Amino acid sequence: MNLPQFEFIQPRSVEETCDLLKKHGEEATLLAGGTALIVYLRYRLKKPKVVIGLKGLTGLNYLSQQKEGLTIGSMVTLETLERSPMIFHGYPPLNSAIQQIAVPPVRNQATLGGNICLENRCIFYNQSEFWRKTQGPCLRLGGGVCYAVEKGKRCQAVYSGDLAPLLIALNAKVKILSAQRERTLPLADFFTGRGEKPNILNQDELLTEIQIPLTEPGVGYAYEKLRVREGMEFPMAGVAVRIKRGENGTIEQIKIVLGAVGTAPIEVTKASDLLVGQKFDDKILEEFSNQAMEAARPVGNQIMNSEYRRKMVGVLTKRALRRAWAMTEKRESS
Amino acid sequence: MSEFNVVGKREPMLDAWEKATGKAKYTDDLSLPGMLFGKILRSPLPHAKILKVDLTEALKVPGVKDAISGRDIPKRKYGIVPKAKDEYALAIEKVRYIGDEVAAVVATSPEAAEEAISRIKVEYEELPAVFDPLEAMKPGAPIIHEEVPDNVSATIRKEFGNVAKAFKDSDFIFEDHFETQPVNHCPMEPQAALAMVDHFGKVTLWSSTQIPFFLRRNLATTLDLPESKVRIIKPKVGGGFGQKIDLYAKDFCAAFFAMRTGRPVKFVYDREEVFTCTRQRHPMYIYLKTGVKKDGTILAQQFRVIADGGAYNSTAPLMITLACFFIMLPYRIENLLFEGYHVYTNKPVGGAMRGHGIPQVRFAVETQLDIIAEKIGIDPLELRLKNAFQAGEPHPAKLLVQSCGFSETLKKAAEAIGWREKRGKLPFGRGVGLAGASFPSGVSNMSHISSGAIVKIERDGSVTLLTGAADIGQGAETVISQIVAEELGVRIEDIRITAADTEITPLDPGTFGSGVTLRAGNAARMAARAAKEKLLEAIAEKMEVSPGELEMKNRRIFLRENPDRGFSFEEAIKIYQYSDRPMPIIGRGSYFPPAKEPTTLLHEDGNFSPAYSFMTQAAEVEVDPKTGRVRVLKMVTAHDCGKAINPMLVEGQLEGSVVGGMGQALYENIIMEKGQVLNPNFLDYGIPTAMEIPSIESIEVETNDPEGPFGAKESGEGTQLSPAPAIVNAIYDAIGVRFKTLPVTPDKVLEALEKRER
Ligand SMILES: Cc1cc2nc3c(=O)[nH]c(=O)nc-3n(C[C@H](O)[C@H](O)[C@H](O)COP(=O)(O)OP(=O)(O)OC[C@H]3O[C@@H](n4cnc5c(N)ncnc54)[C@H](O)[C@@H]3O)c2cc1C
Repeated sequence: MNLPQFEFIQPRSVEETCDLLKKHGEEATLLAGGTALIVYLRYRLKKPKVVIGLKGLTGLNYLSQQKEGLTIGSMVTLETLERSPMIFHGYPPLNSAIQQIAVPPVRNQATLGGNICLENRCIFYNQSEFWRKTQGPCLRLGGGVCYAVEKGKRCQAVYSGDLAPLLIALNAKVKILSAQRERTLPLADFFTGRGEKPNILNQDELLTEIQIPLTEPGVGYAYEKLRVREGMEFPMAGVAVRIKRGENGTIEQIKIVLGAVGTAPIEVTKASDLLVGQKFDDKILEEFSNQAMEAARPVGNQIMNSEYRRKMVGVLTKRALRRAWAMTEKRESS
Repeated sequence: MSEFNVVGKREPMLDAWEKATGKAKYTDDLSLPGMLFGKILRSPLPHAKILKVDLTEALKVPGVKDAISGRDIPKRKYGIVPKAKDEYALAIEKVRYIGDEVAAVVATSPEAAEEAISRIKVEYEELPAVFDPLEAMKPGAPIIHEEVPDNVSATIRKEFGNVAKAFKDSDFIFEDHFETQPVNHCPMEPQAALAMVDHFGKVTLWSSTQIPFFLRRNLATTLDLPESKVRIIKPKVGGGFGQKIDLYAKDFCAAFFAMRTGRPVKFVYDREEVFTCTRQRHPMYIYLKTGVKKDGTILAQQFRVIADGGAYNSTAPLMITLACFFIMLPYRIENLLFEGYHVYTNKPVGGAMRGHGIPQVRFAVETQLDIIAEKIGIDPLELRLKNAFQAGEPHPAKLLVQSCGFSETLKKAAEAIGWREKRGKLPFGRGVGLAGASFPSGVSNMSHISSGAIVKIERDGSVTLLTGAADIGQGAETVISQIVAEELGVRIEDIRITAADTEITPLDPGTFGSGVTLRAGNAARMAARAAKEKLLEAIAEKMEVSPGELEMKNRRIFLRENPDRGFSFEEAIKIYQYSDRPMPIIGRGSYFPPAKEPTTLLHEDGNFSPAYSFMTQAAEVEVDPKTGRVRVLKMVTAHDCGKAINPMLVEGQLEGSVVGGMGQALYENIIMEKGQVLNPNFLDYGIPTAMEIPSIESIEVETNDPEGPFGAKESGEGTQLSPAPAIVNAIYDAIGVRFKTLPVTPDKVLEALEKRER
């Protein structure tokens, strides 16, 4: 499978990038690390006239610790993050989540921006041009049929980024830039829930920065990923949690965010509404886990069957909560 | 001190350095001036008549030089087994699976070729398709090949002993159904071919092949050329595992287009083509009935095996025959009734894969043995030891087993996995299991099965070795060089080897059936001996002794009784030359595996292989009862390979084989929906990664086979027969759930655990 023809432009600055985006509009696609995009191009899932390469940019490759937290340029590679002592010591669960993405050679190229902006995936969509001929185009490609969900009327391709759920749990924000304006918004609001267009970026916009606030004392968090092998696998389900310990072992705050079981990261809203102020025990774990399973929306668009994935959301939720809770204990004593 | 200097040493592979530094040249690394790039158009339909192929638009794409469809090629069928030829290089009248070859183009760039392919217009008339062999066997099912109206393209029915009586005499009878999945070989190097035609019309093809000489024959057939007009050269090959024994459209098309255009032509498959359009391990439905005595003696077995062959035969008759005969090793099975069917379906094609039809039945047998052991209250290890075949025993199918270390492999593997301490005694979720197997070391008698070698001793004391053996990454060239170096008493670095070029090197059947070391090794040793004899004769004359009194070792020729009297290798060569003897010193060897009653097994019983290897795999696993995920913690593989010419390479084979077997047990599965492969890539088709590989302990049991060179037998395929049942048996020990369908994925484990709780 060869790459299609396109014009490749490598801007030197963020401003130039914005101008290019404005000029080329629909015809342009951004290339960060390319680990996801190159496959799309080879499969002819995207046929841009212009590819704007971000690797030559100075100005989006920074990682700094401020008073309010971490700010990370969107072009920082996952390997850089994985090796950063700031993250290793300051955000150990984030480090471990990064290590569970793909394999080291991919992380060496892949960027944080690209990871967040990942297109949604579906076993009936992420296939070669030849493969797709057998069935004809699916909903997302303009055909009338969804092959994953019988009689499905909207694309339910699954958001499979590993980092967004955890970053949402940590209340991360993203900075978005275009030639006209800059906006900063919670990462939770970045996602549309539409299989075919998972994020709110306009054609002329670019994700420039990810901000991760400092975690307060008494907070613990964790990410659990479901996979069969230890490497080379997108999540079949992912659960990120953030929990705050209150007085006498009660739960003061809780946030559970699910990944890879829906068209966007799913926040288990019921969890935070009802169950705060309770003691952290097996009974409450069971309830959180049930709520998470209820909130999950896995459909048959991965190799692994969706019923299993839903069940695992429950198991992962418990495991993540236990780890996060243990972290709150550690943090209190230190 | 060992009696050998080079044999038995852990010599690094001769090309390890080249490969590790990326300098080794595989077919796709080669290029020739003016070379064109080819691409194949494949059928998007599982079963259809080809009404019309219109190449006009493709030919208009800039850079495109030629295009063909099935109508343009010689109507010559090919196939790896002569009596089962059922394939054209490009489909002519109909397509039989998604991916079947319909047309091809060549262009000055791969991009132009790909573009051109998309412009070819094909009119199909879709036909009803069938995807399950059980359905395909039913009357009224769609007919895939007109010549085979029942879709059963190979059948075997064999009875040994008196099965009905033996079942009557049994104290217990066990009946189980098993199912195995399609598995892809996943060689790191995808299939590729580069062809060139010279002024005399001779085709030279560089191909990622395991069997250059067979390929020459098949390619000549499909091109309608005499064999003398075809030369095959095998560059470095990045793994084959059986998938590169067939001729593929890429070979034919490269050669055919080179003939048509006069330019060199290259075809390289992409990974999706490797997954869907080459070969895969046959999925099987297996019914197994076994009768045993109270004491565990196996009296009889009855099999009904239905192999899903996909759209074409490839090795069908041989595959199903091997499945039958290798039931009767490594255990004593005197009464056997075997019915096997190879059935066409509209799916990717089954072919030879490491173990060739045997891993599937071995999974059934070894899993059932554990069921039997539990029921009659015998330790599974004891049950196996009790029924273990021994060297020299008469064999019901007349296989001649001259060396057999099976019992020893059982004991050693059990000991290494901690059988006595662990089996049944580990906490819930942890368990151990084991399973045995046997495999031939090459094939005794089939046409085209001889191997030849030429050894030249050069004036500077170096040695040139020509062998037809095809090194596809297993290290054949290294091992054969070691054998020659040992025989001549020189160092391995003194040997220069040229291999697997049908025009330069002597005939060799190629890499399959685990016969290379034994066959090509013996040929090379004979050649080395012949050269050595010539040299010794000259030295004996000079020293006025008889050649028999001389020894050649450590680059010296000396009197055995008085080692100080002698000459260095270089001096000896000078003496040879000055004695007016003709140079170069050439020795030739041709080896044909002797067997008392040789047979292909396809028609009559007899001895199939010059030697048989035996092995036991043992596994320790950990099951996460909440997620159903299984982790293999440790694998032991005890292998009777006769004699390890190079223990490091043997271990490499054993470890690779074990990991492949783990893939079959837990991870790998070609998932299909209406004949379409849903996971034709390494993301969705999960081979075990470095992260999954457990600690592996390889134990070599040496039995010094009388027929093998220096006592060597196979070590390539046998080990892949039984990791899966060993792991599945260990899972049972861990959680008390028995799996009879592969692979054992987490969702299945969880479901089974939940069912058991209810
Ligand atoms: C074998 C393999 C395994 C993988 N496994 C995982 C996994 O386990 N978990 C996981 O999360 N991902 C996985 N991925 C997906 C991917 O590699 C990662 O998500 C990676 O982080 C993407 O980053 P990138 O820089 O390579 O993105 P690119 O491929 O360059 O871009 C991805 C998408 O984001 C857009 N984009 C990139 N940067 C920006 C920006 N700054 N602003 C706006 N849009 C932008 C691109 O236009 C494109 O659509 C895997 C990929 C491969 C090939």
